[in-house]
Amino acid sequence: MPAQGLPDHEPGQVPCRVRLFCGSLIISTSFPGRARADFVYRDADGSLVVGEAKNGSTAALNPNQKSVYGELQKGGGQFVGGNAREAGLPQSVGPTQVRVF
Amino acid sequence: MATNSALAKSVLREIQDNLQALSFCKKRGGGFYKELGKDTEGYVGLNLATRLPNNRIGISSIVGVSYLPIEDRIQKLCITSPFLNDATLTTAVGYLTPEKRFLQWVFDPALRDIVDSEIAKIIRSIEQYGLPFMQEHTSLDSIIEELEATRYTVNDLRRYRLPAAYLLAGKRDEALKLVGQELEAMRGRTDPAASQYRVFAQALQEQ
Repeated sequence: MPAQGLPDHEPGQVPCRVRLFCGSLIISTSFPGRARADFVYRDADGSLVVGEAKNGSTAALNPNQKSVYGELQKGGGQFVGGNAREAGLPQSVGPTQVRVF
Repeated sequence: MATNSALAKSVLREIQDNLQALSFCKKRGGGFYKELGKDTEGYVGLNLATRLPNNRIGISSIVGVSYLPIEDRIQKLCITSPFLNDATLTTAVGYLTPEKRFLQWVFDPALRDIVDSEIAKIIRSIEQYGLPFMQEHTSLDSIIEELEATRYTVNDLRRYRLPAAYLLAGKRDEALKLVGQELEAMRGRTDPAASQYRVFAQALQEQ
């Protein structure tokens, strides 16, 4: 079981300076609720971006993820739970980008 | 075969024991802290992934420093804490290694015999790369330098910590300038994060 690397650049693109901040964490928005994101990283500008990994040609965000991530991008949200706390994330964030990989 | 939850508990307990041997104590809601000096504590957090295939778990360690006067000042300026912990600078330990990438150690319930050696690798990475990082950031100047460069932080955290650090360094004008820029950048926003920052900014401006 070697240490497993997670992507530090976006597939198919020139590697950019992103840093993974936290894996597997819960995001809460005022409406409609919560979703578990695969990871959060910071981009080259220091902004947080929520990342969702999807495998396969038919993989897509489920309806709950679409709603929560839509709200997160428009009106922001909160990070909840142990992994977000251990990573030292902010309680609340403003409108935040979501990327599906 | 051990369950995912049982494996996670035993691995985390073992890591905790090892961290205690390095003088890290668990406190303040989960993280591990080690006193480095009058104003500074080293920080280790453990990020746990439990939804990996085949009942595996993944652990990545987060290391950082808590510069207590900065964190205390922010607490006094805010009604509620804007952060989920009080580590002033943090990074996944993998970024401090020569490979400079995120590292996650994966534990498989079917391979219990190599659990101890993998835990030893996690601890070694903290000792070898995390502790020197902590020792390098025990002064206010070193913290300000990293925050100014937006290293080991993100914008949502930096907008609180850098002005607080400037105040402590006697650079009130720079603190006010930065807060003014942040307020301008979030003009028109009505989300809770923006409202919370305005409370902090007003309190800081009145200092």
